[in-house]
Amino acid sequence: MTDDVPSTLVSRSLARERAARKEAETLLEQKSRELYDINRNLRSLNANLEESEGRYRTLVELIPDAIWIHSNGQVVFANPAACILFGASAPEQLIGTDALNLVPVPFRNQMLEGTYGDIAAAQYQPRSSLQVERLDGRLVEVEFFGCAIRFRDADSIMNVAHDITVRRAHEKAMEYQATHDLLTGLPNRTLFLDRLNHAIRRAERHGSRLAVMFVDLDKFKAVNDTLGHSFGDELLRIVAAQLKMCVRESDTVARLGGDEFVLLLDDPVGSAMPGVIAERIGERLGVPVMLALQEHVVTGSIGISTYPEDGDDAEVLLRQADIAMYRAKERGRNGFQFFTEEMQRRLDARVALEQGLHRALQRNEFVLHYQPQVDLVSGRVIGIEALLRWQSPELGLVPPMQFIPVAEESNLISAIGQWVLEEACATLRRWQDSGVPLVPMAINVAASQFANQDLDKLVSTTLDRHAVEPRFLSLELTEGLSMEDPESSIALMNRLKAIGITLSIDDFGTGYSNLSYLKRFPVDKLKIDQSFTRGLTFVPEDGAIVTTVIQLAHSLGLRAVAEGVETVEQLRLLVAEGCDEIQGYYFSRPIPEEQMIAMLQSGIGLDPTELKRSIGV
Amino acid sequence: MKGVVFTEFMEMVESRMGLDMLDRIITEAELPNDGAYTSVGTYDHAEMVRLVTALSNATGLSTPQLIFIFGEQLFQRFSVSYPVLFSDVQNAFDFLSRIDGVIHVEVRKLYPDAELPKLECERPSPNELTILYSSPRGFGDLAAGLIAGCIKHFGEQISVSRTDLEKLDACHRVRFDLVRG
Repeated sequence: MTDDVPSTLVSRSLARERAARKEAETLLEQKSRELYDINRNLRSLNANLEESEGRYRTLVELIPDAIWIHSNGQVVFANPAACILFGASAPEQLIGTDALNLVPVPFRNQMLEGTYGDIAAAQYQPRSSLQVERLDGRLVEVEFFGCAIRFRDADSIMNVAHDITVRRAHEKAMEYQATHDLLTGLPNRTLFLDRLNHAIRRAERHGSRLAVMFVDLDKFKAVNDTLGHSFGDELLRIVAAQLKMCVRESDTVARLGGDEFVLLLDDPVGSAMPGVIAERIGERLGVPVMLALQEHVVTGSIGISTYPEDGDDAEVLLRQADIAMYRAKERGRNGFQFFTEEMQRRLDARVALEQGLHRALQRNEFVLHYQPQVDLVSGRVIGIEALLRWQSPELGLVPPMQFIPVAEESNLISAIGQWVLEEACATLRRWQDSGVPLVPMAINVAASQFANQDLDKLVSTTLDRHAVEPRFLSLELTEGLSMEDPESSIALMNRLKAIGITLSIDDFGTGYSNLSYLKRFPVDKLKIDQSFTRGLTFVPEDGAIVTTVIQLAHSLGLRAVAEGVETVEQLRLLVAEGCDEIQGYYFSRPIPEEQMIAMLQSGIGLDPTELKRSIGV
Repeated sequence: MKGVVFTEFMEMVESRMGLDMLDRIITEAELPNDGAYTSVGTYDHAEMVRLVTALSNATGLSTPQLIFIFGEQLFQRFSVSYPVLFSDVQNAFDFLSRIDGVIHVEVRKLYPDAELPKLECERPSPNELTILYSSPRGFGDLAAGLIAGCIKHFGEQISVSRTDLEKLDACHRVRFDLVRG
C-alpha cells in the first residue's frame, strides 16, 4: 500500500492478502529448508546403515564356516562357505530347497527332534558332530551349531557348520599310529592287548579257549648289523606277511617292537592247534628269503601260553608266552615251548638272584679268594688268580657258575668286574704297604667288559689311584670274547699291554680258536682249560691236546699254564711235557686273603728237586 | 493457535457479514499483522480473542455465542476441505471419538508444534458419549460449536449438555454429555 493511494477497503484487503501470501511463502521456504536438512540427515543415516550392513554381509561371506538360514523349512540364505560345503555353484541352488534335504536320512530325526524341534534349548548346547549331504549326495562330517534368528521378518533358524573331514582324517591317522606298528602295518602292543582282553572276556562267556604265541627271530641282530637297518626292516615286513599267512583272518598278528611278534589264536580248534601253528610258523620262517641278493634262512623261537590253563589276564598271558619263548631260545632256538609253572619258578629264582646281585654290590657281599700259580722250574709261587666269591646272607655261599651267567645277562657283570679290579688293586696296595712279598695278581675279564673299549682307561686309572705297579696286574681273557671283533680286540689288547700289565688267554682250547688271530694277540700266557688237565692221565686225546697246546704256546713265545691240577700224576706229565706253570688243588685250593698272605710271607712252594726226580730227570 | 482457525474465522465473517464487517473488526482489534493470516502459520490465541471481542462489539452478539457459531462453521469447512477424514465414518459419535486418537495424530504430522486440546471420550452406553475437553486456552465454546457442527453434518438427533468443570493444572475443562435419540 502506498501513501498516495487512499486507503480503501479493497486496498486494505489486498494488502492483507499479499502480506499473508508473503508470510506463507516465507513459511514454505523455511519448511523446505527444514525438509532438505531432514532429508540430508536421512540420506547420511541411510549410507551409514548401508555401510554397516555391507560390513556384516562381508563378515558372513568371508567366514569359513558354512552358514545357511531356513524359514518354514525352506532355505532362505546361504553364504559362500555353505555353497562350497554343499557343492553348490551359487546360493540359488540351495535357496528355496527343503532344509532337511541337506541332512542325510539317518540324522534327520535327530535334527527334527533335537535342534530344529527345540531351537531355544539347542542354541545353548555345545556344537554337535553330524553329517550333511552335499548336492552330489556325498556326505561330509561337520561340527554343527543351530540357533533361532529373526530373518527378513520371519522366525528362522540359522545353521552353522564347519567341515571337519580333514581333522577326522588326522584323528583316524593318529588313532592308527597309536595302535599300529608303522613298519609292518600290524597292530602294536596296545591294540594287541586290547584285542586279547576282549578275546579273554569272550572266551569266558562262551567257555572257549585261546592261545598267545610269542615269536622272536633268532639272530635278527646279526642281519641288522651285517646288512644294515633297511634290510632288517625288509626282513621284518617279510616275516609279518609270513606270520599272517600262518593264521586265520580272525586271529591277530602284532609286532611288539624289534624282532618280537605276538599272535592271538582266538578259539583254536583243539589243544594241539597252537603247536601245529607253531610248527607251521617254524616251517614257513625256515624257507630262505632273498635279502641283498643273498638267501637268508631266518628262524624263530616261539613261546605259547593258553587261556584258561595259564591264567585270565592279558598281560600275564603275554608275559608267560615271552617266558616260554626264552625257554625255546635256551633249548637251542628254532623251536617252540608251551609255558609251564616250572618256567615261572626258574624265572622267579633268576629274578631273585638278580635282585640279590644288586644288593650284593650295595652291601659289599662279594669277596675275593686267591689261588696261587706255581712255576714248575723254580717251584715258587709266581702269581695268583683272584676268584670272586659271593657270600649272600639270604642264599649262602653262591658258586660263581650260578651267578656269573645271570650277572652277564643282566648287565651287572660290568659293575661286578669293576669291583673286582678295584678290590684287586686295593689288595695289592694293602699287601705292599704291609710288606707282603708281591706276585702278579690275575683277574678275569668278562665279554661285556671287554666290549667296552675304555677298559684300558679304567685299568690305568684304577692302578694309578692305588699306586700299584702295572706289572703286578694280569688280565685273563677267554678265547670267545677276543674273537667277536678280533681287530678291535687286538687294538684294545695292545693298549692294555702298553700300560705294562700282562695278558693271558683263559680256558684255552674250549672255544674255537683262530690261530691266525692268536699269533697277533699280544698275550703272555695260554691257560690250558682244566677239563683237559683232568683227563690228562686217562684220556689219551686230552693228553695229546695238552701236549699240543704247550708246544703251540712255546712256539708262539708264550708261557703255558695248566689249570685244575689235582694229582701228582698230572703234575708229573705236565712237567715232562715242559708246561711252565700250574694252578690247582694239588698245590692249593683258592684261599682267603689271610691264608694267601701267610703263604706269600712263608715263601712256600713246590720242591723243584723233588719235581725233577719224580719224572726221572 | 493454527492459522487455519484465523483464516476460517475471517472467511466466516466475510461470507456472513461482508467484507466491511471483517475490515472493521480487524481494524478495531489492532492486530500485530493487521489481519494478514495464513492457514499454515501459527499465531497467538489472544489475537483470536481480540477479533471475537471486536465482532461482539460490532454485532451485539456475545463472545461465547460467536465462538459457538464459528465452531459450527469451522466443522462444516473441515468436512469440505478434508473429506478423507470422513471417508469411513458413519456417525457423529464415531467421528468425535476419533478426534484425539486419529485426527489430532494427523495434525501433528503436519504441525509438530501444534498445541491441540485434549478430547477424551467415553461410551457409557451405545447411545451415550461423554467428551472431556481440556486445554490451557478456554475455548470450550469453540468445542461446543464444533460438536454441534458435527451433529449437524451427520444429521443426527443428539442432545448435548455442557458442564464447565474446575480448572486442573492450568487447564480449562468442560464435559459434554451427548445422548442419541
